[in-house]
Amino acid sequence: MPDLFTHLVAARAPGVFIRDKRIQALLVIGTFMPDIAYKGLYWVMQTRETFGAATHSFLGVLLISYLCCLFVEESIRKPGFIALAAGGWIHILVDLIKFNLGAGSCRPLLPFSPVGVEVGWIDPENVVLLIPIDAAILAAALLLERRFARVQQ
Amino acid sequence: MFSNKGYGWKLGAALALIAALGVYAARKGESINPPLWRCVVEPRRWDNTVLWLPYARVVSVHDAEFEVAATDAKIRVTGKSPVPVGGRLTLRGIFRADGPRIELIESRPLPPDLGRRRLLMEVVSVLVVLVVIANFIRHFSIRPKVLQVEGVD
Repeated sequence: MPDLFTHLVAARAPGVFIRDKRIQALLVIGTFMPDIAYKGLYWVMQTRETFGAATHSFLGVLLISYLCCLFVEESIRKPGFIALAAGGWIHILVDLIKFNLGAGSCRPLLPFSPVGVEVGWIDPENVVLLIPIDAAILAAALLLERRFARVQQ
Repeated sequence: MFSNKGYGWKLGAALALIAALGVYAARKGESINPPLWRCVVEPRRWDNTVLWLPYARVVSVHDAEFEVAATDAKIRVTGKSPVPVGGRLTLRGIFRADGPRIELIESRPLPPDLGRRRLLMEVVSVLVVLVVIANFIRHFSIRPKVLQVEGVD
């Protein structure tokens, strides 16, 4: 996985366009969900690595999002589910940028195909170099959000 | 789908589906990139399997092959080492039962300051998690006592 800061920025930047702060928070939590589920299964439940691979698939994200949205209040459950799932899908897309020598950074098409997929734009050991770029994007997004809020007032 | 009607059933169904997807992924993905120690222990079973070693240290270098120590086992690799003895690399190759050995497809040297880069990423990731949890608590109140009272009614 890239560092969590990159994951945060990838979800927080589009989150600028969401007015409801609760849905925005769910979008951000959603982007960490695949890793939380994977680490929980691997470290706490001691499952195999391949068992946890389902947490980084498009269908797996939908199922986990549905499970999580059941824990928020009924009135925002549907938009909450959409935000969680969108966050999870953003996580998978960000993971795909890694270059693992063709082995695949995750298996997004499970259960239809177990093959690993990657776009291969950046070496995993170099994702730390994205932090300054992430910080700049986050700063721009937060500035944009403030400007939107002022215009609406 | 998102109402409180049949809440327990929905919760149970979501959990069951996630578990089923995990079991399916574990079975389907077993033959994809198995751990090196399994290949070394059962070479005939994993003959001709494509392997990716995300991290390995070069132990010795010879004319047309070199030996690497991964986190779980040592193995000979046929091909030219991109780093000298003691250097670290990531590699992908085909596991051959005769030897056993790995036939090198592709490799990449890892930077010497990999430990420092990882430490920085871990520190940033922990900070991000703390910020996200703080933001989540700001927008959602977790009130188990209220839930208990509502449950009694």
